[in-house]
Amino acid sequence: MHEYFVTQQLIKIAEDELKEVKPKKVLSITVVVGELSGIIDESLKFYFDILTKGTILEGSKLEIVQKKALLFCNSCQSLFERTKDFLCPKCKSLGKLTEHGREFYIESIEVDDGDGN
Amino acid sequence: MEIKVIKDILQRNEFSADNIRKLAKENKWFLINVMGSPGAGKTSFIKAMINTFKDRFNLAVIEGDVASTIDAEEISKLGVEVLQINTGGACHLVADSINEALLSLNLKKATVVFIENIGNLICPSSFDLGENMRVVVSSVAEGDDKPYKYPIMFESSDVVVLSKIDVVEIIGFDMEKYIKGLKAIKGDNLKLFGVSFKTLEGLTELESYFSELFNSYFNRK
Repeated sequence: MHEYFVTQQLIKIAEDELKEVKPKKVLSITVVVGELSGIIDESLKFYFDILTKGTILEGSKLEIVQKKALLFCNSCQSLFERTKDFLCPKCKSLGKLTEHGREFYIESIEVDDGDGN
Repeated sequence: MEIKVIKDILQRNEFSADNIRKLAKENKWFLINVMGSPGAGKTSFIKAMINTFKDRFNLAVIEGDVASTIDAEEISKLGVEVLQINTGGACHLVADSINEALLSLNLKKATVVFIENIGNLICPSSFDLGENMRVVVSSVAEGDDKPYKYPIMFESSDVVVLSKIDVVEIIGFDMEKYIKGLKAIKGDNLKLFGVSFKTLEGLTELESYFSELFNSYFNRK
């Protein structure tokens, strides 16, 4: 449910980025969301459509790139996708959380700047 | 044309949180962000802390709640200053509202401020409130799988208070599994206190930990 607040911030950052570019139209905005970020894609999309009304982002598409949470196994030195008991599928040792899966950032914004580019 | 951005979407919250850290440092406030599921025992933890420390330290409470003032009323009976923040539906507190709350509380120098966050194990962990410490209250009644299901909440917390330990047997709570999950997340940094706010079991250890912490922060012997 905190996606309302987060979406407001997202739109603000995008607007700031676009101030200098002054595009004719914003086509899409790509956001990277990790599994552990606590952000629900569907809620983000829901609020995005509502909150972009009247802004330069109105009518643009929100593209979400999902990233899986990966754990690191100290015993066999491998990265593995989160299992329900955190156990490494290869050697059954207990894995540790890594930075994979915490992502939450705007990757890019695609705009039509009027030159057909 | 594609513009590469890569910016932290939560940057505005970070700005307010930094401001709070500055305020807290100047005034020697110690801010404790108390998180956990609804019914885990967040209010009981705060009440127990108030009863133990109100004669020795300045205390205040910021009560976050979606709509009610039930907890704030109960805490104000204990004789400490309380400020209610109703989020009106939001599932977590943000630094902006804590900043405002701190200023309107009119706090003395050297005060411990407990911030009771909204009850859930996801959203509050993502929002920095400029706090000095995070406590997650997790109850036996919720089950032993919580660290595996909500790892970020436990990882982001400095202290884990496992409440309702008087019903471990009744619930069939697997303590070994719970601790194993926590250790996978926290490693050697795990500070876990098992307590029952009903039978008062484990409370002495919890109190002496915080007693030492406050003493050293406020440079008292």
